[in-house]
Amino acid sequence: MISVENFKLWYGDFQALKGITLEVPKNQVTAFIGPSGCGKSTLLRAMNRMCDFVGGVRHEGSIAIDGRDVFASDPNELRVAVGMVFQHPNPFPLSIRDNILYGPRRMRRISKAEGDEIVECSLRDAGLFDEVKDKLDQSGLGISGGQQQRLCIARALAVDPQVLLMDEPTSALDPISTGLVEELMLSLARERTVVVVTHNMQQATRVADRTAFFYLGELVEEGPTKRLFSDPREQRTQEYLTGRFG
Amino acid sequence: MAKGSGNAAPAPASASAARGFDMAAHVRRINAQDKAATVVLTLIVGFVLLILAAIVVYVLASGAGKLFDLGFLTGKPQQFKEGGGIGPQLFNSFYLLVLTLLISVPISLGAAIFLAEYAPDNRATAIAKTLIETLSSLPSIVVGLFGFLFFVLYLGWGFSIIAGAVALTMFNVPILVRVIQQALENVPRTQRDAALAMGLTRWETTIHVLLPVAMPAIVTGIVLSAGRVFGEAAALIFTAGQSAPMLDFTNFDLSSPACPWNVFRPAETLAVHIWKINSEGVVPDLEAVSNGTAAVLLVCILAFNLLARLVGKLLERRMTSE
Repeated sequence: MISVENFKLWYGDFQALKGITLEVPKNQVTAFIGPSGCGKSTLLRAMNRMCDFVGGVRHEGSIAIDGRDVFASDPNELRVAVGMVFQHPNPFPLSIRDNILYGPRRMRRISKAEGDEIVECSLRDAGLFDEVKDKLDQSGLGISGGQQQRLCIARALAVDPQVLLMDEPTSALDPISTGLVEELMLSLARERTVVVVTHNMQQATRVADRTAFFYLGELVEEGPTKRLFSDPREQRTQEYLTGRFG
Repeated sequence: MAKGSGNAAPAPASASAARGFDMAAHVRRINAQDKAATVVLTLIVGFVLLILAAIVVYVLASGAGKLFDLGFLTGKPQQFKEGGGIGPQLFNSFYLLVLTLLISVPISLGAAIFLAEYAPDNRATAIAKTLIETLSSLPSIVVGLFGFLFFVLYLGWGFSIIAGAVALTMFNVPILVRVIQQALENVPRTQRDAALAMGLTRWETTIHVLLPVAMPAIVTGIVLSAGRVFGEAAALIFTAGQSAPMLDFTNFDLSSPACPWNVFRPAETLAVHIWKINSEGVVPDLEAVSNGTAAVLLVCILAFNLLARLVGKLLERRMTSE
């Protein structure tokens, strides 16, 4: 479970998050929606401390993952437990196999057999194994964009993270790849917590158990996806969902 | 050529016509401008290429007789008679280049990695970057004279390969730092994000992700700078010296001037040789020797450039699809 407690974040003088309090339940998919600049990506990037790399960032309040304060943890250790998938597929310029084994090999020695097993498991979990099983030694940059994105998911899964953060993971993909990645989110959430930032509201309805709507740095409303879309309690949510702004 | 410039201009839209704007005339004018620019730019480039090609052809043609003469390429230089070779100079040029790269590449890599990945974005960093740029435009004769005063005289190294290599390092490092830094900064943001989001430290990110991605550009930069170092004369005249003792490749006594690997022996290079025989040479065939040396030098540098492209492409290809 991820608990966000009155979390505020500033980029220089600009306050991007204005006191967010939110519980993200374990082993479910939670979607963050809202117009550009509403703070949803910022909150996602605070959860694995990728925000550390932006100059002039300051924050208050707390984020805890399974009771562990992320800002009190070692960031590199934290990011092993909290995987991330980005908008644009970004495999390393290595073979498909080495891309997946990169994470595990950093932590311990991996034998050939164990490596093969991790590669197959991760690729199966990412729904990519059958497509690439004959070219595991080819470059990860040589496959299609949709396959690259699933390779990035497999790479993240190889270190068995408890949480998977996805920052608009399908916005650079074609509809078929998008469908595959969405199915993947559903199956991944059986064993881990998935948080997905999306611009696509249909995507939220298709994959998310719960949805949180952000606007201008505030969390306007959060609830079960079905309820939030059919019966929004806040007027701003309703206006956004019906396309009156954003 | 401008594509689609042959298309007929659309009839003026009614709104713009009402405002007295002649769309057809406007399209004609911008197409004419585009054509004129194409012609002028092509002429400029053609002119520059023509001059370069003329120089290359002239140098190669003048030295062609000696270029394939094995006796000239491996022979001993003569002081007063004709028929001298450039064997030691050819070896010295390569040896000096290798030594220079051995010293300058690690220093440049370290400095570039620091500047691109570690240096905080503050005044000190900005000043360091400006200093490096200034150093890269320092006239090589100044570097040479500094090397003469400091390494040759003050440190007492004498005219020596090592003094030459350090002087060349001084003017190679700034160029390499810029090239490598640029290559690292050009690595797409997405690669950096991928590495950092996996919990890699800055060092792991640099070594395992950024350097491999930047490697084609880095290697190309190193080989191109090698071409410059190889052709450098001014910085070497007063550091590596102007004499080329005959080398004995069976001699491994590192203190002997005849030992090729002795870094404290004077070592005239190809470029310095050209300068020397033209300024104070007394051999009767000095023009032929000078032309031949120039042709050899040019061929080596052309080879470096081709090699740079080839290696860069190969690395690039190996990275994107093995």
